[in-house]
Amino acid sequence: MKYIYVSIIFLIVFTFFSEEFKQAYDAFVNLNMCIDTGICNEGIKTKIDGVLIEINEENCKKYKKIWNSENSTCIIKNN
Amino acid sequence: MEDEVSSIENIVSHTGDTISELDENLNGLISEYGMHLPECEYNIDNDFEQMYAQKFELKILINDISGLITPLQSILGSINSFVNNYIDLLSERDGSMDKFYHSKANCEAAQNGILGSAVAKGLSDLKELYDSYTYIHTHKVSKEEALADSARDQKANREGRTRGRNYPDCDCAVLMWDLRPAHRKQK
Repeated sequence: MKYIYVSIIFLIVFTFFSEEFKQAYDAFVNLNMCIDTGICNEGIKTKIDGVLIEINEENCKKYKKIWNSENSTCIIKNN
Repeated sequence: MEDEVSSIENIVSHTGDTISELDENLNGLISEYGMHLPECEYNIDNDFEQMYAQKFELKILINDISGLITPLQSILGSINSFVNNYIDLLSERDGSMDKFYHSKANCEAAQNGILGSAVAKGLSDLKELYDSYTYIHTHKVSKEEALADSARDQKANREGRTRGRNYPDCDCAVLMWDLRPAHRKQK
């Protein structure tokens, strides 16, 4: 019976430390930060003035938002 | 203990009937409101306003008591409101709706009574703490920006809780309508 518990714990630890989980978590954090603060990473799809666009330098400047080339982020909110 | 809870439930139910009666009386008097001069003997304005205010206070009190009698329901209902509104916000991918969903979640949770309001405050504080730590940790947001954003969110959260407590029967999407951005206010 204890081997089942050990296997489950191993599976949970493996899941949390796996590359896929880390990538999914990073994507979630970046999306949350974009929606919450208006600071969006390159590659994220979000709405600016109701239009869904992919964040990159070109789109950021096209919609007259501030592009941070150091972090590759676009500030889309006027707070 | 069960008898006491039953007795409280009966009082709540009886008070609900009293509120309905009060509503009927107020509806009957509303046509006379503002129709007579202050010194006129038929002037009912002060009494009407007092009754109206007391009705709302009674509703809030009954809501609080109902929430405390069924604490698990209140807590789970509040958590459910937060989760649903967060999912809606993420699926919309529209950051301009952030304040609206923040306040709507708090409003719906606060409509569960004083317990729901407390749960809403706790969840909001936890989220802001997590967000601030995460944003600063990624070094893409400065400490000042993170704190300023958190303060703005908490302002929306407080507003949602206040309106939810004061208007427990109203639709929170309507109550918080003014927090939507201009381009999302058109129906």
